Amino acid sequence: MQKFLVALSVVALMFVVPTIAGAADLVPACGGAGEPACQACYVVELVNNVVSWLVMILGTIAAILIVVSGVRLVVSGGNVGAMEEAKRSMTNLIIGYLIVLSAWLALDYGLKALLIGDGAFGVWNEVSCVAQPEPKSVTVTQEEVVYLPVEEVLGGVQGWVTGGGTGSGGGAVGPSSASCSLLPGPPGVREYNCSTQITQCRSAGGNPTVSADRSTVTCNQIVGGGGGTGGSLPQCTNGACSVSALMSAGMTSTQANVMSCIAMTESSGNPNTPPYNVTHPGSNSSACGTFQIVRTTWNAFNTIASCSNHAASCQNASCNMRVAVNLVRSNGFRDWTCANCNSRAIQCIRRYGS
Amino acid sequence: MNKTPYIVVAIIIFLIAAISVTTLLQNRSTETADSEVVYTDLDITFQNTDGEDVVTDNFLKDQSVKPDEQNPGMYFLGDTISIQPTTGVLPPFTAMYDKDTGSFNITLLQKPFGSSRQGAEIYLKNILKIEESAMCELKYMVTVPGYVDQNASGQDYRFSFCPDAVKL
Repeated sequence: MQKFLVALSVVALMFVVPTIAGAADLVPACGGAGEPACQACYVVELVNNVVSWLVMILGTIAAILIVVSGVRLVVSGGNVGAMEEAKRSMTNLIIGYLIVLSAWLALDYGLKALLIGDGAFGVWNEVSCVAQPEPKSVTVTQEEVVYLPVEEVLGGVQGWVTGGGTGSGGGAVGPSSASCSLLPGPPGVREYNCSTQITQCRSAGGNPTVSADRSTVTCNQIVGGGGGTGGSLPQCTNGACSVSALMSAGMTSTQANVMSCIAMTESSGNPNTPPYNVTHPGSNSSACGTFQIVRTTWNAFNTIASCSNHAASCQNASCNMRVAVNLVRSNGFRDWTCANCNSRAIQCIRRYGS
Repeated sequence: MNKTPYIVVAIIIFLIAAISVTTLLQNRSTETADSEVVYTDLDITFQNTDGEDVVTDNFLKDQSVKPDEQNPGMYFLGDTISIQPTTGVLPPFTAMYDKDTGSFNITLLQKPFGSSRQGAEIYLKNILKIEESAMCELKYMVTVPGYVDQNASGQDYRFSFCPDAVKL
C-alpha cells in the first residue's frame, strides 16, 4: 500500500510541477528594458495572477486528493470505518474546493466592480489591468526631434511676426502671424494667396487661421485637449486603429491615444493602404498598412505566424495592430518621429502623449 | 442534523447565479453597442449626437460596395480600392465604412484635394440618398494620408457643405 501511495505521489508530482513552474509568469513584465514603466495597475495584475495561480494549483491538488480518497475507498476491503473515513474526506474536499471557487468568484467580482465599474465585466476569470497614462512613455530622443514652440519655429521664417496677443480657440496660445502674398490684379482690387503661410504654419506644428479679408494668417500652437473627429489631429474611429481597438491589442492608454492619431496621419486609418512602392513607383520604400510599417521592421517585431509575410499581411488590420504594439513597447514612437518619417507624429505626441 | 447537503446546494446555487448575472451583463453591454446602428435589408439607421435617427439606404447592398476581404466588417464604397501597380495612379478618393463602429473614412488621394472631396461627396450623396444636412451628422472623417501629402495630413477636412468644413 505504501509503495502504491509513493508511486501515486510521484505521478501527482509530475502534474503539479508544471503548474508550479507556471508561477514564473506571475510577476507582470514592467520596468525592464523594452518594457512599459511599472504602475499601480500592475499590482492589481500581480494579485490577479497570484489568485488565478492559486486556484489552478488548488484544483490540481484537489483532483489528486480525490483520487487518493477514491483509492482508499476501493482498498478499504469492506472495513466500514475506513469506507466512512474515505467518503468523509472526499466530501470535505469537494466542499472545500467549492468554497475556494466561490471566494475566487467573489474576489473576481469585487475587483471588476471596483476597477471597471461600468457593467463591462469582461471575460469570466480575467481582471484586466487598466493602465494609467505613463508619465514618460514618450521615448523620443533629442537628436530625432526639433521640439520647439510654433512661435519660435516661425520666428526664423521670413514674413512671420511673433509675440503679444492672446490665442484663439481651445487651447491655443502664443499666436504668430504673417501677411499673405498679394496677387497681381487691377488697381483697387486686392486679392491674396495664403497657401504658403498656411503650409508654413502647419509644418511648424500650428493650426492656421485666415483673417476675414484673407490677407493674414494667424498660427496658433496646438496643445492639449481634443480627440475624436473634426479639426486638426483627429484620432482614428474605426476598428483598425481606434483607441479602444489599440488598447485591446495591448497598448497602454497613452500609447493607444498617440498611435490612433499617428494612424490617421500615416494612412487615414485605412489598413488596406498598399505598399508605398506600389503607390509611388520607383520608390524602394515598403511602408504599408495602417501604420506604414516597412518590411524589415515588420519582420523584426512580428510575433504572429499568420502575419509573417509582410507583403501578404501588411494590409490586415489585426496584424498591423499586433506589430505596432510590439514596436511601440520596444521603441516608443521613434519609428514615426525620426527625421523625414512623419512630421505630424510629434504633434500627435504633443496632443495625446500625456 | 447533517448540514453538508444544504451547504453544497447553497454554494452551487450561488455559482450558477453568479455566472448567470455575468452572462446577462455581458449581453446587455453588447446590445447597447450594437443599437447605435441598425441594419435592415432596405436601410441603415444611424443615431446622431442628439440621439435622433439618420436613415440611409442600405448602401452595403450596392454593387459598388466591396467588402474588405482581409478585414471583415470593413467595406470599400465605390470602386476606389484598385490601384494600378505599374503606373501608381491613385483614385481621387477612397471611402471606407466600418460596420462595427458605423463610421466612414473618406481618404483624399489626388490633388487638388478640393475636387477629390467634391467627388467623394457626390458619390456618397448618391449612394446614401440623404440630405447634406443629414450627411453632416454621420460619424465620418475626410483626411489626406501622409503618403500622399505630409503637410495636408493630420486634419479632418469634413464635407465642404458642413458647418465645420475646412476649406481646400
